[in-house]
Amino acid sequence: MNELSANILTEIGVTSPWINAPGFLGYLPPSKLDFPAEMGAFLPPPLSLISRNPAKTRTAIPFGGGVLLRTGLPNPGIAVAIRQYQQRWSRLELPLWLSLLPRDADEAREMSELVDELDCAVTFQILLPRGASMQERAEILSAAQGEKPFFVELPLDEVNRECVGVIQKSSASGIVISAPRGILLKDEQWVSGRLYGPALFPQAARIVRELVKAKISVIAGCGVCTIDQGESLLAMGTIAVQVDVALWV
Amino acid sequence: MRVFSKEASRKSVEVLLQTEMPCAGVAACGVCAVLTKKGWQHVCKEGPVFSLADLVSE
Repeated sequence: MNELSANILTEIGVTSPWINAPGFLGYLPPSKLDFPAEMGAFLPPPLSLISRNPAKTRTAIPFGGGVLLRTGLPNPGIAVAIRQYQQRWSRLELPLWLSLLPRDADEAREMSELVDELDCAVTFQILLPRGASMQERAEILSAAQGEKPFFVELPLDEVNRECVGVIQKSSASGIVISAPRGILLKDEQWVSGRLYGPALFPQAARIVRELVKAKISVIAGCGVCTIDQGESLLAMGTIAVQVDVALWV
Repeated sequence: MRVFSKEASRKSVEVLLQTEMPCAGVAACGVCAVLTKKGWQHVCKEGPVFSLADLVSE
């Protein structure tokens, strides 16, 4: 992992540690944005190489500690999104930070090259495919290395020593702890999706503390619902905070 | 998803789509996506009223 990680955000022009989680503000920041703090960068929704349709059973299911979202992470594909939004992204006052969903090393390489060509993008984060072997993960991270620094998105339920070890051996600048998956009953059917909300904060805080102790650059990407929670994680040593469903309340 | 209102011929019918909108209308989550002849559209952004003739069954 890059030794300059601690200062990487300042180096790429991200001057505030508060940023939105990908998929929570659309492809362009809303004109009236009620963000809890000064925003350091803007993240559009996650992009895949090829377009993805919404999940057939897309839904939002509230539970006591937050909400389960099942969306399928729909997007038009990175090339179409760049064609459609590049001009407006380049006019943003905030640095652009992309979120990528490669399925394998070839896709990671191709997407990384597209980000390299996109002047307004300062960095990107990669969500590794669920179920990929450690070897496949290592290959994807190796292929993702381009001219720009990148982070690896690790869902809370996938944080383990082996996976963190693979990321540490890569050229990634840090780890984004993101929303875990869960299942909830709706209309007598179990629905799987990503979990968001205040219930995740204690778990995210514990993982952040462990990674900070191990001197790994970490971004808290789930569970932060208040300024105080974010500030407490920043004081603990996380280099940035990504705000998700709190932006919708 | 429930469809309200129906009158006259299918061509001139407009429908009001009601769906979950957890992102409160910023077209970020995709939960309210609906398939139309113009591709996927968001009920919260391009709707909630659509021409019935434009809607495509998934």
